[in-house]
Formats: sequence, C-alpha cells, structure tokens
Amino acid sequence: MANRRIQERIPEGHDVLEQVGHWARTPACAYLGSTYGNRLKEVLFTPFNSGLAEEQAEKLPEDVPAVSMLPSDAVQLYVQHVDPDKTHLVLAIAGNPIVVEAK
Amino acid sequence: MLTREDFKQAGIDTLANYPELAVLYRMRDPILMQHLDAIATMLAMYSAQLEVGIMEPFLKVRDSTIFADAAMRGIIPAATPAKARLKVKNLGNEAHHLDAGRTLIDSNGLPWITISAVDIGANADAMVEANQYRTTAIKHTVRDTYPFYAIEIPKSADGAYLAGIYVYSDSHIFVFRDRYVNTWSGDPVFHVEADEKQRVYVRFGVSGVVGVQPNDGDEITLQLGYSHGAEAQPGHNSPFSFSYIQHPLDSQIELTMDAVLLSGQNPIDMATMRDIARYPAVYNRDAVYLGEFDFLIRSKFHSLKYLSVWNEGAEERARGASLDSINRLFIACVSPLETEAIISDRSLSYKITEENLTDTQKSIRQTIWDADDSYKVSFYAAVRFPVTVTITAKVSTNYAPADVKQQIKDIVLSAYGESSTAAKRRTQPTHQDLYALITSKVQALKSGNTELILTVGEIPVNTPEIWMYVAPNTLQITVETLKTLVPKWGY
Repeated sequence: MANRRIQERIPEGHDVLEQVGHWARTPACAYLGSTYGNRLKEVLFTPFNSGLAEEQAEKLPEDVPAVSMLPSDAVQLYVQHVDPDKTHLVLAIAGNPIVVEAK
Repeated sequence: MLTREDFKQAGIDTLANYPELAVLYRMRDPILMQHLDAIATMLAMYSAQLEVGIMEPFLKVRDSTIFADAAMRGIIPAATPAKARLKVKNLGNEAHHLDAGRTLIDSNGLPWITISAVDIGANADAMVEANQYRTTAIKHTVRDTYPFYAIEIPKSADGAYLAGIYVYSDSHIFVFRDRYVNTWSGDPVFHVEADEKQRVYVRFGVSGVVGVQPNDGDEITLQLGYSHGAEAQPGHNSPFSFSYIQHPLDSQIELTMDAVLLSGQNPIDMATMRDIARYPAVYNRDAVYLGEFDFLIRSKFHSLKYLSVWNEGAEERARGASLDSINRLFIACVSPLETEAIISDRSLSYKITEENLTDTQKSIRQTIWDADDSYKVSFYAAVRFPVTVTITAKVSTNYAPADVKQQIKDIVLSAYGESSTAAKRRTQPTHQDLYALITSKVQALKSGNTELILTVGEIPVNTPEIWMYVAPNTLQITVETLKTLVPKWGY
C-alpha cells in the first residue's frame, strides 16, 4: 500500500508541456471519432483576418484540459523569422516556446 | 447495442489499477484519453454492425426490433386527452354564456379546453365538458421540395405528448388519409407516420401521382395538440380557472371538477408494443382484415385493464343459438377508471343496456363502426374470476422456505396476476406454462431432488366474458424443506 502512494506523483509543468507538444504534433481529426488536434499548418495558407490562428489558440485549452487551468494569456502563438528565408511558427505556453514542426 | 461511452467507461473503470495512468486521467491528458476514445469509437462501430446484423423474424424481443415493428405497423406515439365534466356555477345575478373552446387551467396547472358551449342562468349551475390538451401552431416554409415531402413534428418542451394534428396552408386545408387510400392526384391529403426512433412526421404526396406535393416557398401551418395523457388526474371538486377573462361576467363563474368521463392515455408503452408485435399481419385499419377487431381495439385503447372481443360463434357456444347474435360483435372490457360493470358470479352475466354504457365503451363501439359499420355491437359485464392455483414445492435445506415462497408468489403474480399482460388477453394459466415459468426462474428448484406439484383450479372455457387472473388470496403456496442425501466428502 505504501509503495503505491510513493509511486503516485503530482503532475508538474513539464507534463502540461508534453501534452501541448503532443497536440502540436497531431493534426486535427487524426484520431477516430474525435476532432482533437491542431490546424496550425492551415494558418500559413489562410488569410490573417479569417481568424483561424485565434481559433487554434482557443481550441488548445478545449483539447488539452490542463491548459485551461493556466491564466488566459498563457497561450501565445507567434511567428519567428529565421535567416534567410525560414519562418518558425511558435506556440508558447506561459513563456515556454514549442516550435510547430513542419513535417 | 453498446455505445462509445459504454466502452470508454469500461476502460476508465480499470484505470484505478494503474496509478501512473490514473494521474494522467485526472489531468485528462489527451495522450491517454484520445487513445481510449479512438479504441472505444472503433468498438462502438463494430457493435452497431452486430446490432444491425441480428434479425428477429419470429420472436421479437429487442427494443430496437419492437420500435422498427411499430413504425412498420403505423403506430404513432400519441396520447389520448382525458375528458372531464365540469360543474359551472354562476355566482352573479345575470345569466351568462360560455363558448366552446375556452381555455382553462386545473389545480395541477394543466391546460384544458372546453368542448361544449353552455348557457348558465343567474345563481344557477350547469355542466360543461372539457378535454385536457393545448394547441400550438407552427409555420413551416417548404425548402427543396421532394416527393412525399415530410415535416417533423417537434416534441413539446413541457413533457406533454402529441395528441392531434391539423394541417393547412394558404391554398388548401389538408385532410388526413391513412396511407393515401382513395386519394386522387391533386387531393390535399396528409399522412402521419413515425420512424423507428419514434419521431413523428407529417407526409404529403407526389405531384401528378397522388395527393399534393408542396412547392418551394409554400408556407404550411401545423396546428398541433399536446396533451399530458394519463397524468391529467384532477381531484373530485378541485377548482378550475379560466386562462384569461374574456368578459366581466367571467369573474362570477366558478368551475369545479365533477367527473372524469374518459381517462387520458399516455402514448403506447413498450410492453403493449411488444404485445402488438406478435400479430403477424400488417393491414390497413380502415377495413378490419379477417376480423382482427381485437388488434384494432387494443392498439387504440391500449390502457384497458381487460378486453375480450368475441363473435356470434363464441356467443352461441356459451349461451345457445339466437337470432339476435347474427352479425353482432360482443365485447367485455374494463377501462383504467373501472367505471364499467364488473360482477363476480358468472351465472349472473348480463348484457349492458344502452344508458349504462360508459364513454370508453361508446368510443370502442365507434372505433368498430369506423372500421366496419355492418356489425352490431353489444357489451357484456366483465366477470371477475380469480383462478385457484395450489403449489407445493420441496426444496433442499440450503434455502429458507419463506424466501422461496415469496419468490414463487412474485413470479406467478407478475405473470398471471390482475394487472399482467396474460390477464388482459385471457391467457389461461396452464400447468405446463406455470411449471416451465417457476422451474426456470426459481434457483432453489433447479438443483436435483427437488419437487414441484401444481394444481390449477378449473376454468370455465366457454364463457368469453370472464376476467381470469391469479389473485393473491387464491394462490396457495407451501414450501417444505427436504433433508436430502447429497453425495459429498466430509460430514
């Protein structure tokens, strides 16, 4: 019994980041019967004012409930230009940046 | 059929065995949850396929088969509104007139509508009849017309059931014709049907073939009546009030409940639908096929406590030949209000005279005449006949005799008691059936070396109006325990 209690751990910040990383790697509707996942790749090809980027920032706390525990400005989505012609799409959770993979 | 939630819950229930995963589940970690979800969805799809694959051609047991069968037979889940007679007292000094169609509210808050107009003198009383329902009108604009265009009837938000439908548009007033019989092309006709999920639709015709097919943009109004069915039970002398005052003299009128004439009926329940699914034929209720009046009355008055319908053949076997019996249908029935004549001695069976017929009996007669008005109809008083059943059981000493006795009593009374389906349909409790029922359901009688002795009292077979059932006081059960020599090791 005591062994069990030692094994049970408290969730920490890196757990949340792992979950968000998983979300960032999963395209939307990848799992059968669920709309879980991101559509960030589409953001690059849709006009700015269509609001798709804001929708994705709102979708993240719905798909990953742990993020909804964070303050509302914890989720940031921005673009980083890297020399000479590359652009990184970065999803930052409470300051921790996650680069959305291009694959 | 197991749903995705069932499978997901089964997975979640085992998470307690894996403490690492339990932590992740508490966080609703999507890495765990999405896997579980996807597997549950896969299994649910497979379960749906299995469900569709299992067909029940003869003995219909599963709920989904019963619903599909009811949809095929054209059974619409509709309620019959309760009808009550109200006493109207005019406390004022002037005579007053109340129109039919006034809306009232009873002491339970249910809406009623008066169906007769009445004149009441000053300081006098009068009677008025009212039905428990309310009407709502919905306008539907036709978009994308197609042959046999259908409009779904919405369910009421307050839990009331559908009771009536009246359809009209700017150009036509639509008439109800079951299954488009006797309908020319261009006749404004509508048909009501329900699907296997018990959603009710109003369906129109096909232009150029039968009926009228609405055009795009047509506005069709459906006036729907919603009723609370059997839940409308105002107490005797309970007060009713007008929904709104139309005339200053209305405030001098006092309305109280006098009598319930027709008890309201909820939409047909699963048990009755299961019963009706046993009838093999599917036929048009406008003409009764091969004399299935029993089916006709049972499907329309499914809340009757007892119904027996017989023809001149059975009548003459019971009471001898008579010219009066030619072309006559005989009925004995007991409605949920139990206001019909019921006697206990079958030698005193008698036909009920016209002035003693209750409203339920008159409605039953009208239903028969709507289907086939060449028949004359007579009503007999139902005769209560509690069947004597004596049961002796010998069980091993492992079981408590009092428990086994109670178990047998519950089983027999639920299958053949006064309110059972068997009693409603005059199914005789035979030795074979009782024996099979008790031995299959009582655990104590399944092990070897037990004994079950049954005697069923004599039932007069030639009396069609008897209401036979097993009553608690005519059911005698004795349970004895046997000391049996069980082959075992030890002492």
